[in-house]
Amino acid sequence: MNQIKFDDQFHTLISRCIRCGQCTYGDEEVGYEVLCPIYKQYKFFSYSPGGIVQIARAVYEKKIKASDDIRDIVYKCTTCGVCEEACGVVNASGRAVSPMKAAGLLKQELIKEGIDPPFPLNDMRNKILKNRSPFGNSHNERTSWISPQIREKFSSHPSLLYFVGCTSSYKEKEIAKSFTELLIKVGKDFTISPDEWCCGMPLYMSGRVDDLAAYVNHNVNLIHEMGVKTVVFTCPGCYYTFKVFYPEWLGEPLPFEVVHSTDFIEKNIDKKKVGFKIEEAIKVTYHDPCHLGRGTGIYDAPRRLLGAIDKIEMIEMKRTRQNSLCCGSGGGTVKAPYPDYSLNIAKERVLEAGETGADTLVTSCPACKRNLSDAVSELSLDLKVLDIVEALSIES
Amino acid sequence: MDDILYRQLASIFPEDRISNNEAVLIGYAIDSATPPGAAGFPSFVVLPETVNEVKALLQVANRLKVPITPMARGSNIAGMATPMQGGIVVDLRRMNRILEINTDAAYAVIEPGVTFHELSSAIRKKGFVCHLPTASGGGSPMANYFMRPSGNLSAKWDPDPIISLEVVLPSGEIIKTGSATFETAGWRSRYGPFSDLTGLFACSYGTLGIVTKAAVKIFDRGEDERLLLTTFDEFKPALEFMKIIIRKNLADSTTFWTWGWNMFHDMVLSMSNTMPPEMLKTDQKTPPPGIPFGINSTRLSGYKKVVDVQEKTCIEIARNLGGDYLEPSEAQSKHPGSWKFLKSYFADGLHIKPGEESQLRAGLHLPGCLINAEPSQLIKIERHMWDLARKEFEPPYFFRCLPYSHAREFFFAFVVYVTGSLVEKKEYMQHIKGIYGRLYQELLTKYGAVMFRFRKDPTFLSKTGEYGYLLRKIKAIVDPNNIMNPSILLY
Repeated sequence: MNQIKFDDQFHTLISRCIRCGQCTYGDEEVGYEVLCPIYKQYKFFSYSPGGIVQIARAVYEKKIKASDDIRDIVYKCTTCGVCEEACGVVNASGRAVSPMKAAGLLKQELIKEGIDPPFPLNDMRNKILKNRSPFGNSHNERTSWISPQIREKFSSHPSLLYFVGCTSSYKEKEIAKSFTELLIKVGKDFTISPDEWCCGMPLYMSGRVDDLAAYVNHNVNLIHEMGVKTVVFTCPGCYYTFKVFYPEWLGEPLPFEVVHSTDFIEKNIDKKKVGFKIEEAIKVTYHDPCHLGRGTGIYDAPRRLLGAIDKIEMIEMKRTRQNSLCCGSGGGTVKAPYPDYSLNIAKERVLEAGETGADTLVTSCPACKRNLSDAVSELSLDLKVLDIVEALSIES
Repeated sequence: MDDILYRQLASIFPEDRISNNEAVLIGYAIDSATPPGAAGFPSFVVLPETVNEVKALLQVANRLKVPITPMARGSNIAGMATPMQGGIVVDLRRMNRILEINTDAAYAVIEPGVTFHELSSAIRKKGFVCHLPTASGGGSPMANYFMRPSGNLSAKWDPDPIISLEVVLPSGEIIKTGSATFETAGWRSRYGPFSDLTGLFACSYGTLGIVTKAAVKIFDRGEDERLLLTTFDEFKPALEFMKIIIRKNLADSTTFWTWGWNMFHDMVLSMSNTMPPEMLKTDQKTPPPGIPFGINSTRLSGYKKVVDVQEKTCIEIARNLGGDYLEPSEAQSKHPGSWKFLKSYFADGLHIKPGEESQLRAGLHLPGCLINAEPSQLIKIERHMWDLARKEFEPPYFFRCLPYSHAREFFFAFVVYVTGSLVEKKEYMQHIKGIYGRLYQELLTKYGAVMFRFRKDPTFLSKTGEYGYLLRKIKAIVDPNNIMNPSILLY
């Protein structure tokens, strides 16, 4: 696997950081407001991308030893990508070390030094190694949500594969069902593989890069052997991992096209046929999932889809697009070990959504949906939270 | 001792704003200078949010004789906010309110944690611009102004952009300076019927107290803001050009950048990682064919018809001296990175957007040789630096020069850009650092050039005779226990 190493070159790159702090905040659109979730909550410089870079530098220079305290800073990084938007110091082209990636490398170094990830992530890893998903369910249950009626619609020679991902396979099954129904409705010859494995994102987020190769190779070979041309994802975490990390790790482009469901719907369905399932919804706001927005640059497709529906009014939150506030989940890998921290961020986000006057908060990510829904429940807000594929209806 | 101190701190700050966790402290124990200077671990870091917290903190520190390292936003590239072993770092980034924007008297009252991005964005909406140095947009205007910056409004900035202050002294007493001394007078004026105490705190590097509020000058953007570029094939006429236009009060600021700078701007702002081969050639003084030795950037602002005349006059002056006018379209095509950078700073009054702005710092800059000197000495200093560089430095290296108002003094910054691995270059960087240490003494003796900012040379103040004696007496009165920022070795 192609990986940046925790070496002299890495040290030289991160030594360029002058602690300007720009990695923590958005641009002029939001008055340079702090957006980095970890820095927002924990206040000290070390709890920021630049701070994590300095910690990595100090560990490399052996000024400090790997420790549980470092672990409890670095594993709070949600990989929201705010720092990648703002930091050019270690993120120039050809110098592919953003503060966020430095955090990833630091996790790996901690493991080498005997500091394991927080327990829930170790547990998650063991489940992945056993069941190919971060949840406790057996691998056989991955496609248990698929009814015989749906299954019979699968094409035997598909050009399209729907890569469902673990969260929608086991937890947010409505997302998988809704998108599958949508594919059937528009007549796409597609299939779903019972052999898909976890994309590897939770392993990467845990610093367990030694485990990654098996998952990357399995998924790529599986899809390649199926002969599909395009793979569509409803989970931005999986999509981001396939689109950004797989080619980097493999050192070559993928032998198939990858596309997110929002882009797919927008390009393949006449927007005049797109409606909104929730009858009572009037005002809708949209939360940009970090891995979809800042991660892969998809901001417009979901907005164009929602904006094309006459019966709803789309209202933007103040912090949107590249200035969007993370939901705090980190694809579930931050929510699991640090649930209170994760929920606090989500609470801020749903309050912001509520301030727009919206009755429905739409997102495009199962992990965001889960965390935002938890925050809505915690605050007893009158706000529905839906994934976009659950919210959209398609006229025949 | 640390237990006693912790209990005292815990009586002032909530738990989440005090830390003695090693992983937190390390963020404050690294000097951002290249190569890094000595830095020790503090015992604690605290995050005050109010002046009363600062007051209570300093009372405790003074009573227990604990060293204090104040830090505004913490970029700290000059190593002036680096703690010694033990003590308390006072991280002021949570005191980040813009308290007042007075467009009538043209000032803003800010706290130390306000960034350039925040201040320029807020005042721009009201038709104003603040003094912008080439420091980071994430830096603190207050801290930077105290270090006497150089930048887009240097000619409007004599002697500096700070008007009046609120300072917490080591004893915990809170004083105000300038017109703010009088409760009913507001912050508008630096000078009153008594001595200028605002000036006492400028360039004091946190050794006399913690400044919790400052009124800083802001400037009307005018009907038109314009960047005028002229080119020169050698330094002498460029220097003459700058002297004339400043003496004649034709511009807000004027700066000369040698070709290496301009190529550097082009390289980093195009997000390229490839060093142009020209920047690595042995003869760094002679520009490559077709490229001017340097570009002068001049900011003009005011009524459009006045700016038109100023621009025409400046171009005439440049041409009479053998220079030439560089059309914006030509600059954009030939020097796109430089154009973007210069236009943003000097015409728009904004740091370029965060990702690009920090990109400028992607190089491993050794702290440049920063001095001010009489105009008549600058040609000799330029020659001295090129000769020194040829003997001791690896390419690329370059300089910029800008005068303050009335050609009273020139800021001259000679910078070496270090490429390659930090580990492999460690000895080279230490070698250059040693040269710089001697260089400041040499430039002072030979050319009367003074280091622009204090650079941790404990012998420097003693060269000032009775001035230094008086300053030490003031320090002894204000901070008898020497708790304020002792690690910078000024006293």
